[in-house]
Amino acid sequence: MSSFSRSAQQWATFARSWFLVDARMQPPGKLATMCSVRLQGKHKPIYHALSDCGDHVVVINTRHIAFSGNKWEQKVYSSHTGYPGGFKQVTAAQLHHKDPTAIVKLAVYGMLPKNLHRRTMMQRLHIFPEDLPDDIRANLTEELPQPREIYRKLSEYTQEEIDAFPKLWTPPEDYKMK
Amino acid sequence: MASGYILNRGALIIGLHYQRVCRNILLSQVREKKRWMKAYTYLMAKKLKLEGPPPPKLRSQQPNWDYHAEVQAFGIRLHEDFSLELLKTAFINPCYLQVEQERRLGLGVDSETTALTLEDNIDLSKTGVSFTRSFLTDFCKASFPNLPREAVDSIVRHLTSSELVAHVARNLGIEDLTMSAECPVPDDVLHSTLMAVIGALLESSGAERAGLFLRDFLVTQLIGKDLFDMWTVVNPMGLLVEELSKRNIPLPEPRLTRSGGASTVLPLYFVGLYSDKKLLAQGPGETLVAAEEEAARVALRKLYGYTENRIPFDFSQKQPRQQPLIHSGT
Amino acid sequence: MVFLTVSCWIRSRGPDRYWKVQEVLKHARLWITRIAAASREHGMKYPALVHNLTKSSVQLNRRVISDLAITEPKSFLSLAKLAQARQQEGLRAALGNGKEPAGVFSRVVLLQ
Repeated sequence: MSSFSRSAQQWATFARSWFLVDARMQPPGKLATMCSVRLQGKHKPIYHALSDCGDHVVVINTRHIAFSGNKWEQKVYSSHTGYPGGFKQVTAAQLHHKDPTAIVKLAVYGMLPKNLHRRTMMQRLHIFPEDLPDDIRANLTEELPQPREIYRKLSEYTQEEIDAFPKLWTPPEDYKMK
Repeated sequence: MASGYILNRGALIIGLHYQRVCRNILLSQVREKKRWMKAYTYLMAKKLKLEGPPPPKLRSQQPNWDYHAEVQAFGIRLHEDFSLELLKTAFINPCYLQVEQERRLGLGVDSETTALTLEDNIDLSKTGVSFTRSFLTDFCKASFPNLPREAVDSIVRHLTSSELVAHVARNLGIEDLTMSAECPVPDDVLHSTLMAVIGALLESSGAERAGLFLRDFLVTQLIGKDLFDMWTVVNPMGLLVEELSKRNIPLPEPRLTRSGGASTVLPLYFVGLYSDKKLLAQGPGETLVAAEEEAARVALRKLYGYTENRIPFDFSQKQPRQQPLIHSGT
Repeated sequence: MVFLTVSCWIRSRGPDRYWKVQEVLKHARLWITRIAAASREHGMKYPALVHNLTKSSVQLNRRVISDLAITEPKSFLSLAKLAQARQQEGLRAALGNGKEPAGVFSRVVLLQ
């Protein structure tokens, strides 16, 4: 696209776009890398650390994020209130129960560069535990592909599909399925 | 600490003795910190602040100035063959003649012995202006055949405007050679001087060389210039409709193609203009109206062939200018 | 680099090559970020792009490529396409003609 007027070109170059990410069944770390790249503006060829060219990212369905392994029980989020004996430690499951947006937020916050722009970039991150409100929906420009493909759960398969699935061995009559 | 004190005392005493002994001897050189310098620079800075910088002085009023040599060098620097009389005439502005006449009268010498026998550059300037106009108009028509008459006129007006011509003239070093009444030479005087120089070139080396001169120094100022910076179009959509109906193309239909941040204070809209379900142009804007206007401008640029990605001017063709610069031995 | 004592070796600032690379990277880091961003727009990664451009003997330095990415996106797109074509060619060459040596069973055959 060429031959825009100079002011229009400038406006279009530095306009902030709004990205939408669906966090359903996605690992928070992978979501956070996508978000932090967009928030910093590192996906644009005009990137410069001082030119404040980051975009907005809207993350929805953060209540349904998925940790792999036993991270829900084992991963610990620590904080300190500043008072004596104020060291708090909660597991990921507890934190998620308390605030369904906190895990994604903390992951993104940790992945942004540790400088004075970090809080500004965080303000361009909009996280919603479920669906997004209408005023934000009006702004969106693009939906980002999910970092991980969602596989169907076993409960989502019909009985016919399960029966039709090829078996490696035929279990004996007295075999107990777990 | 104590030893330092004693040393100081010693130095002081030696100094005193030195003064006493050498009272009658003139010291030619003192190697010390120049403590008067601070006060002096402070004074000068204060003076500069109060009075402002000194007024600029004409180069001709400064030492080591040979007007004849400079005028001759001017032509050689530009690789042009000027006739010297014409060139010298081209630099003499009527305002200078008037002021000089008054100055001579004011000195009280009788007017016959000191009569000025100089010609001014009005005629040369007139030829220069008319030649420049016609050349630039022809050039624009040749390079942008689709451009309407008003656009060509405004491009020519931009190229012959006082500021732009004065800018070119300053960078050619004409400011120092110009005979003008006022010292920082005003833009319109510089304008008429450069035009007179072009007139002189036209008369001394012919239209082709003068055209090449214009092409090299004035047309190049078009590079990187937007069409609508030079040509003010208030209603581009109306003009576009007019142009399209002239060419029998169906009228444009604006459609919102992209948008972002619509409910924020920094929205961006892309409006595409479709004609007969084909995309003519699309343009960004802060509001829908601005984006539509921008799209119309883009469509106009495309219609007129004045887009940013057009084929650049080819200045390399018809190049008879690689001649020996200085005719040695003549 | 000759160190006569252990203390000299500890105090040394590391190999010369490292510092030469740092001297270049000081400026090139920004260009690399920008090229990486632009090449990801066209579905390539930075190392793949640069490697394949070198393979196709495009002798543009990173600064010029990043300038192209900003001011001339179409030229950059053609560069990216060139690199992609070179990459595919390299992959095909690596896979060979799809025939396996006798007695070897690998995924190459399964992919066909």
